Amino acid sequence: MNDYPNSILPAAARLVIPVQIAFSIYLLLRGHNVPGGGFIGGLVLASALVLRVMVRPGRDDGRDPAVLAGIGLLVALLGAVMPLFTGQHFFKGLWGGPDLYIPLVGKVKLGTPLIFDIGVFLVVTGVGAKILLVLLSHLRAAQAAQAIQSGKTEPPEIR
Amino acid sequence: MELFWIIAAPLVAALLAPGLVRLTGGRGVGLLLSLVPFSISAWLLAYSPGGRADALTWSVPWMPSLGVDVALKVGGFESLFLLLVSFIGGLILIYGGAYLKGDRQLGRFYLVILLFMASMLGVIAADDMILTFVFWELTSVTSFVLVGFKHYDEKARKAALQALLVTGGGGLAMLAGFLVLTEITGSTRISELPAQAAMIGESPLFPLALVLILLGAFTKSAQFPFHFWLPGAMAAPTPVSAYLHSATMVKAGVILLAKLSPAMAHTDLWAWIVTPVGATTMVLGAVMSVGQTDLKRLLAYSTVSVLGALVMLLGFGDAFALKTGLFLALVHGLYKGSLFMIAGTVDHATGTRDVRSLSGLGPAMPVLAAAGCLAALSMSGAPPTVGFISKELLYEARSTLPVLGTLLVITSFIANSLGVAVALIVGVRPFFKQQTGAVGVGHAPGMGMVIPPLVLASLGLLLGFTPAYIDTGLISPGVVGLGADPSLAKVTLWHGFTWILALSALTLVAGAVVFMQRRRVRAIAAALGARAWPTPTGLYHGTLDGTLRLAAITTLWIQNGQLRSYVRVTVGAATLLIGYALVVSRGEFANGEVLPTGYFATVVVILMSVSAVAAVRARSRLSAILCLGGVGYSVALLFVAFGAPDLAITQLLVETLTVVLFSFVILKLPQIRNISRKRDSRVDIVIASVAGLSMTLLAYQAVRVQAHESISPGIVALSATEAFGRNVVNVILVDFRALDTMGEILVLALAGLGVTALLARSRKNPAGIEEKRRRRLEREQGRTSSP
Repeated sequence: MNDYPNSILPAAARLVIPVQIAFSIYLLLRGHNVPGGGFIGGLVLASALVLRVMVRPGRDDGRDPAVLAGIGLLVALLGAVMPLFTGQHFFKGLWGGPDLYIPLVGKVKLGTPLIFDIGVFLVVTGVGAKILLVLLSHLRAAQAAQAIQSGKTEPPEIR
Repeated sequence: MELFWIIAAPLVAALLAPGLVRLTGGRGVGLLLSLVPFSISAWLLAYSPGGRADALTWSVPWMPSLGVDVALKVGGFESLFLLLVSFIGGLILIYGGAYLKGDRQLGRFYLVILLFMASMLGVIAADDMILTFVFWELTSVTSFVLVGFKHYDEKARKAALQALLVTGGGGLAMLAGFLVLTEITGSTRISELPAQAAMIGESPLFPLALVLILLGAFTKSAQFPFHFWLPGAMAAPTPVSAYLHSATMVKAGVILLAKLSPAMAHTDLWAWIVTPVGATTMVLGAVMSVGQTDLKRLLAYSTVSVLGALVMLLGFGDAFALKTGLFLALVHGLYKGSLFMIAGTVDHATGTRDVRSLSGLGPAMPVLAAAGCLAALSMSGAPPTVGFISKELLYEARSTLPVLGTLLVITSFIANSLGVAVALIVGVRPFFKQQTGAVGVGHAPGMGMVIPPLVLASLGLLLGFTPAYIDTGLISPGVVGLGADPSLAKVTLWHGFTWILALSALTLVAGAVVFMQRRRVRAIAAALGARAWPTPTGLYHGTLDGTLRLAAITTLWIQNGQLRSYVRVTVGAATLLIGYALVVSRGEFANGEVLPTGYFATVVVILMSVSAVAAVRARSRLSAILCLGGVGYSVALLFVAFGAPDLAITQLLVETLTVVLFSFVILKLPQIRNISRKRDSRVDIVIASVAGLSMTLLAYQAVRVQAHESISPGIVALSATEAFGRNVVNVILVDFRALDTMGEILVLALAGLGVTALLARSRKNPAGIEEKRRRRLEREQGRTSSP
């Protein structure tokens, strides 16, 4: 069952979603110098994940975005404890390695704050997408129930 | 060897155990793991810190500012109990492996029981009060998991909770007692206490400290009136009972009392509390034990009785009593551990633990029967077992105590006679007489379930022949470790024909008589138990239920489910606080500057106001949501106007996602209807207006007032040089105030989990709530229709 039969949304989504993903990473990486960062990037990526499920309800592959949130917490923690191994304080920013030059983004310095920001990015993505997807599944259940009540359709297959 | 390995080794083994079980399917893992505690035992015997002049110590600073160290000390006293815990622990690992063979939770069993072992060894070896407390509570927590091992069984869960609440609560009291004691002495080291014994006894704070610490010790060691959790904890798998509830955890209270006795036993208060409690527990446990029909409950109550005896002896506090106590603790660990394991094996083989239906099992399980008889011999104190020696010592302890001695003899006689009966009921009776046919051996128990109890029971016999060896090797160093003279009490198998021997014989006879008349005795004991009021169990349940009910009432009052009252309380409280702050701070620090407002911002504010009014007036939910979105986007525009692009982007995204979110749930919500009464609406209008006004004033004041020098320039300057970032907002988030952000994402993740759990639950069983409501309605209707 498709929520948007014969609409242009699925077609548009196919183009929009990759752009959203790329844009979210762009926001994440540029955040240290210009507006952006993990939080904003995470919100963008979360909306991409939700859009993906919205237009392809039948192919819900069961991947749970909540896992991303868990990984994100661990990554953020990693960024926080890494300085401890060099004898520094908890959360002391460590910078090192080569500067990366990424097209569009520009220079990106490597360091523990970036790791921490990636953690934030993943947590926001995971939690945002999870909440929206759970609500979305409720919406579909309600729609299905309404449809059955009004006798319009056969009960849909249980996904 | 570093002393800390006696705790670290079982810990490491615990972490490896689940992986080992998965790798091998469980075969031989128990045997392999048992090498860890056995090597600790071997080290204790070979290196024998007990036999050395001074104790082994090990410490690293933990909280230097408070003088708290991770300090371990192993002297004569500690090594006796370490030996007991590690040796029986090794046998339990083998036994438990056989008992839980094929259980899916086998890996978990090894993990938790080894964790428990490490904590228990820690309780014994810890020489710091705070460290003792930590290990003490760790034993409570691990025992919670172990008692509730069959977590699918509600009874097991309740028993586990009961054990945790009683012992954990006692542990907290003990911590408070330790802190008071530290206040008196200025040190948390246990080994430094005896030197200050006089000062401790004279301190006005001493009674408080003593009572609090005793609460901890009594709850842990199941002393009256806290004894009830121990029989309840028999819901645990038998290997757990055999370990925790015979030789180890329940002795923790006794161990603590023994460690503190050099510093406190000289006070009157000590004697007046500890001795009567111990004596009461001793007799009560013994009487209640013969009233039971379940093998494990019989053993549990008889354990309560022995723990009472140990506490009573510590209450006397003289060298003779101490030596008797240590001997009794050792002997009890051997026979009770063995009997528990035998009860478990019988249960495993026949499927029942009811003593009334167990008989004639001997031919089917001859080795187990032998072990049962040996353990029963030791428990009943028949020569030539160690049990005999310990009983002789117990009676002889009278000689040093002129007044209390008579009390000691009478109570010990009662408890010991009933103990003989219990020994016969549990260790002997199930294996003899012909089979009644009611219960047969379903399957013969494996070696792993027969050898460990046999080893323990045989030790009881073997050691009986070498009393001098255990005396010089284990017991006397233990007494020396407690600062007393061990030479007063002679440990020998044969004392000659004395009145003590006569009393021992009389005890056996009395026990045999009780055993013969066990049906009648059981009925009497059960009747006594039912008559007693108020029972501690009843008090426990009353308190627990009362607390839960109070919580339910408070929840209903605060969380009444009316959105309006939530909003009113939240907004009203915030407004009051803001209003107070505004009134207090009026006219102060008006040194900040209000930013000039441009045309752009003015237009945005008008837009925002229009949207807000439209949202309130909206007739359909969709338009209300869109109008609210309008407010949100206007706020984002304001951020742009005042040069905060990061905030603006975030606001835009959050606003968008909120609108999407609303549109998802809109279908489930009812149509907007005006269900408010006029009066309610008026109150709402007042609250809303006042709240809005105070927020406006607050915002105005916040811009005007600059109480301290602004930190903004400093942060902006440091941002590029120290944190290599030009976006100050982001630098603050991920570097300067990263800890805050860490907290925020943690909260975010938890909130996400909460939302998921709430929604998933109602989705799985959407009918459940309806069903409940319908039933409640029916009930209420029934109530009104019937007069």
